[in-house]
Amino acid sequence: MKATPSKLHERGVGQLTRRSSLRTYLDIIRASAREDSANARRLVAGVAVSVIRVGLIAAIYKVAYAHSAARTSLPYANALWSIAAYFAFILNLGIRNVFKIVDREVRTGVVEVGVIKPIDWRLYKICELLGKNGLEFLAQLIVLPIALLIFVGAPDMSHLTFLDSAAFVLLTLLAMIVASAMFLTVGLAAFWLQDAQPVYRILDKLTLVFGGAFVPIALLPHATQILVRYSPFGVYAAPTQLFNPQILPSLGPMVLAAVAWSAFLVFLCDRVWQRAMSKIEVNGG
Amino acid sequence: MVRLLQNIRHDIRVYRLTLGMQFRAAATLRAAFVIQIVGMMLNNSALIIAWLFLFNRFGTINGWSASELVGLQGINMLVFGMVMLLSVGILDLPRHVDQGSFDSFLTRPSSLLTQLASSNVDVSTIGDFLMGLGLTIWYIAHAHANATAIILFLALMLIGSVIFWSFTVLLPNLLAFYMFDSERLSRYFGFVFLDTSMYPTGVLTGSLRTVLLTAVPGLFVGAVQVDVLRGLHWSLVLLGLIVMALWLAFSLWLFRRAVRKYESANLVGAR
Repeated sequence: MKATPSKLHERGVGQLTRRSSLRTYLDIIRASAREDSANARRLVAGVAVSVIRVGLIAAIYKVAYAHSAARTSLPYANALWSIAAYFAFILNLGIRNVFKIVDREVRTGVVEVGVIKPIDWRLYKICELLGKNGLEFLAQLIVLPIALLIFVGAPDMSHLTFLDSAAFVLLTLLAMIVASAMFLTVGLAAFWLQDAQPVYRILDKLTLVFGGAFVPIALLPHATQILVRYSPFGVYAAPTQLFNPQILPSLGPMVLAAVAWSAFLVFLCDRVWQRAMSKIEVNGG
Repeated sequence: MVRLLQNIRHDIRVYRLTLGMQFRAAATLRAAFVIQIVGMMLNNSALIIAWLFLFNRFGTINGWSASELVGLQGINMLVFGMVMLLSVGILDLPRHVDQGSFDSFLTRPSSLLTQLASSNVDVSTIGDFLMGLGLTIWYIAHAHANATAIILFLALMLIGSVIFWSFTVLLPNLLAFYMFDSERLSRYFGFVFLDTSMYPTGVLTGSLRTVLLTAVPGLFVGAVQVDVLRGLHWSLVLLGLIVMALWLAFSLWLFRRAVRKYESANLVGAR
């Protein structure tokens, strides 16, 4: 017996999805995190690698700040805290890796089994990823600041008010939505492309270059900064801008850009998902 | 002695034939083959651009400019490409040990390392190799290096490749013999060494530089070659030889010792 997923959706999944609550997704995150905590050695090694990386970059920047005649408005400590934020938020929380899960499941056909379950498959994959990487991310949030305090000292945060901090919390949530929608859409491209990896690699590397992996956004050329700030890559890397004292005048427009990109990318992701659903056939029996 | 030479010749022949077969198999999917190579080149370009922003902001840092960064990245890619092109199969060691397929390597009348090295290929490393070669040639021309510097540079390329092989290919993957599910952990260790060689660590001075020349000798996979092309540094070549010999001897000793810990899983299957 064959049934198209759209019909399945109408018959059962749709009703059941409505029934599934936020609690279900929290349970998925919790279950994934529990699975991840089983490998403590890997967790420790992951955090250690980040500390070594940040230490190495701190040493390079120390020489750069000491030996170069060029002056910059971004203090040394803030530059390093910004890079560390990139490592923790973008590399270790790793929302971009949702592409790999989606791509693999689409290519192996596992997605067929996923769509008949009474939960939203896309949210399920994101929650699974957040749970899997969540512990390492939390460990980094504790260890990296301690390491940075030792390596470079505390950042200058005198520019932030309570309202600005709240805006950054909102930006972080929007960054997660933008990244999820962007990389889910690329992953779903596997329904049409034989190999979606090249598309993913391009987006991933654009995030690396313009997200502030090695050079904080605040140290990019002025015109590039403006361009990046309002692009999806800039929205994804927005939490790293927390340490940029010059960002405050642009904070409002940045939030607006983040809202606009979130809405657009979620809409696009949903459209691509609907098209993808009409392409697959679930073999029953 | 004659027997030993015959064995080495046999191992090299088997290695060459197996690796050749792997490449021919990978090249059958033409489009994917080309896409992977070009994709890796784009990936590497992004890394260069990311670091170029640093030099764009700070100008020359401790004698290093954007040209040196491009030279460093080129040499690093060339070494990475060469080593991975010829021995990427060793990275599968944790999987073979965990799943028990390592048995099949032990039962064959050929060197373990050459068998492992030729058991897999990664087409994208051709992209690293080609891009690295191009950038290295550009930097040699840009640095106006003389013949002696080029000879020293070539010696250092060999030294750097052996050190890189020991630190990213062999040593991290030996963890598989001591703990289960070590693949990701091995990769982390490899990444640390790769970072020390790929970041512009040539600008560093003091004790950290000493560490990066001896204990974690990442500077020998790019930065030292750049320094040699800019001016003769006999002492660095000599130090490189000593460091390489020590780490290679240690890696091979540990490999022999680690293999003895392996217990067969009695995996039954077609080999």
